[in-house]
Order: sequence, then C-alpha cells, then structure tokens
Amino acid sequence: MEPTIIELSDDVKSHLADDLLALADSKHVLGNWCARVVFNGRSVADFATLMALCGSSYGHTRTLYQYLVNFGLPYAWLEQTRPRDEYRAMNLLDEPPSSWADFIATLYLGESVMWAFASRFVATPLRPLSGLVQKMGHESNFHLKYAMGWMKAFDEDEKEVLRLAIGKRQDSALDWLSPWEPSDPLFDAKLATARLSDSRKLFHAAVAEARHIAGTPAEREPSRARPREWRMNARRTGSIPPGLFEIMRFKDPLVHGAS
Amino acid sequence: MSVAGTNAHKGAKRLPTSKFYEVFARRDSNDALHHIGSVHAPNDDLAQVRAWHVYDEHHWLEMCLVPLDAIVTVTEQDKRVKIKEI
Repeated sequence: MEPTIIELSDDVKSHLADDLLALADSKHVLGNWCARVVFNGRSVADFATLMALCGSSYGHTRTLYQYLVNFGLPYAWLEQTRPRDEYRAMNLLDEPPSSWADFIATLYLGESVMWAFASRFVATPLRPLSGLVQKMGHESNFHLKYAMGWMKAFDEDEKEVLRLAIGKRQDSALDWLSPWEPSDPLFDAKLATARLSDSRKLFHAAVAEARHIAGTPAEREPSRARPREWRMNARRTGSIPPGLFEIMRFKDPLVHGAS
Repeated sequence: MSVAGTNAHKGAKRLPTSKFYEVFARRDSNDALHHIGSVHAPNDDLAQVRAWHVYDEHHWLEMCLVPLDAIVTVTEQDKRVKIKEI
C-alpha cells in the first residue's frame, strides 16, 4: 500500500516540507530572473523562450505551494505573507546576473542542481509528488537545453565570461545539496529513491559538461565545509537579501484573504 | 530618419551564426506529421527549445525539426529548378 502524507512521521514530514519549499522558492526566484532578463535576449524567439521558462518556473512554484498545503501550511502564508527569513531560495540566486553569460551559467547551475535534487522523487511512493516531479523534469529538460544551447553558441569572449561565472558560482550551487551532511532522512524513509550523494554526482557531471563546453578542465568533486550560518531547513545561509525580498514579497497580501 | 543612416548597429553584440530549421508536429497517433513553421537558431539545442516554446498552441504528441540544409528539393512549382529541359 502506498503511503500518504498523513501517515508520515512528524520528523520525515517536516524534512520533506522543508526540502520542497526550498525547491519551490528557488524556482520562484529563477522565474523572476527569467522575467527580468527577457529583453536581454538576442532575438524575438529568445524573448518567447525566456517568457516560457519564466512561466514554467512559476508553474512549478505554484504547484509545489499547492502540494505543501497538504502538510498543513496555509497557501496564503506560502505565497503571500511570509517574512523575509522564511523565504528559502538558494544562495546561488542571491546575486543577480552581471552579464548574459553569467545569466546562462547561473540558469544552468540552478536548473542542474534543482533537477539533481528533485529527480530523487520521480519514483517516490507518494504518487501525486511523483507525477508532479515527472512533469517538472520534462520542462526542466528544456530549461537545461536552452542554457546548454547558449553555452555552445558563445564566442571566445563570452566563453571567458562563462568560465569565470561557473568558477564563481558552482560552489554555492553545490552547497544546496549539503555535501557535508552525512544523514539523508528522506532516503532512509524510502521517500527518495536516490541518496543526496547521488544527486551530488549528477550535479558534478553537469558542471563537468558545462566546463568542457566553456573550454576549462573538469575538477574533482570539491569537498565543502558547512558554511557559517547554514540553515539546514532552508538549505541556505541567513535570509534572502533585502533587495530580492522586495521583488519577491507581495505588495498586497490581503488580495487572497490573508490576514 | 532611416535606420540605415544611424549608428544603431555599432557596439551591438555580434550574434552567433544561425541556421533555419523547419518544424513538424503531430497531435495524436492518427495525425500525420504536419509542417507547422520554422525557427532560426545557432544550434540544435536552441532550435529545439525555441520550437517547443514558440509552437506551443497544442499539446503535441510528437515534434521534430529538420535543418533546412538537409532538405533535398525535388521540384519547386514556380522555379522548376529540377525540371530537366528538353
């Protein structure tokens, strides 16, 4: 018999909700990034694609928020009334892109790390979550292909910027998979079908592919020390920056009846 | 003022060389593959993403791309380029 959320222990339920919220919020910020850079696209077809990437990222966020209501979290709190320190978007996305190549590098690293993480739930016994993640995977594939296509199309000048951007941002992306953390409660509870260490290998392979395209040698999987102020339940350090919160927060939280 | 007379192009980032792809799709297994449009892209990856997102009017069962330079023309009604002269 397949388990339902109600049957999970409080501890496992809390870990799963935390991880899904970190995923949803990271997709929310990445969706905002795509919206902001639309007119930096290089053609009308690019504008259309960036809008679609934005739309599907928001779609993933909304569906995950909706799913999280099953954990007892009010939808209005999830989407509209949370304070800054309750947003769980990954550190990778704290600093906005400084160039087109930096945007593409960050899009690629962000999508790769999120899919490496979410794909652990493709075959989870929680069937609604499994279906949701499969749909996400189908769309993430196009997001990754878009970033990959641009990396291949860059000339030498932009590849140089790409190399710097990957070098600067890859550790922060890897931190999201908490490489210093030996425990894996969702795998132990048989809700995830792969270990976080497998996700890290997937992510490392994705980074190696990007480095190859950028013309820089692959590195050994780095060992990362737990950053100071690391919040395991948010998969990030500290709170999201005030400027980002100003973009994220809803200016009229009463619209949906939140008080 | 005409665009040709301005310096609007100066300083613009050079775009990567692009090629044309024809886009074909079918809605279900009873449907034949139809030509639904074309996209312009620097490589196959970007062409796939652009086609998928630009031609999203249906939930396609199948979509595929053919690079224009892979198409072998047999005849074209107006030009009759491949009609042997007698």
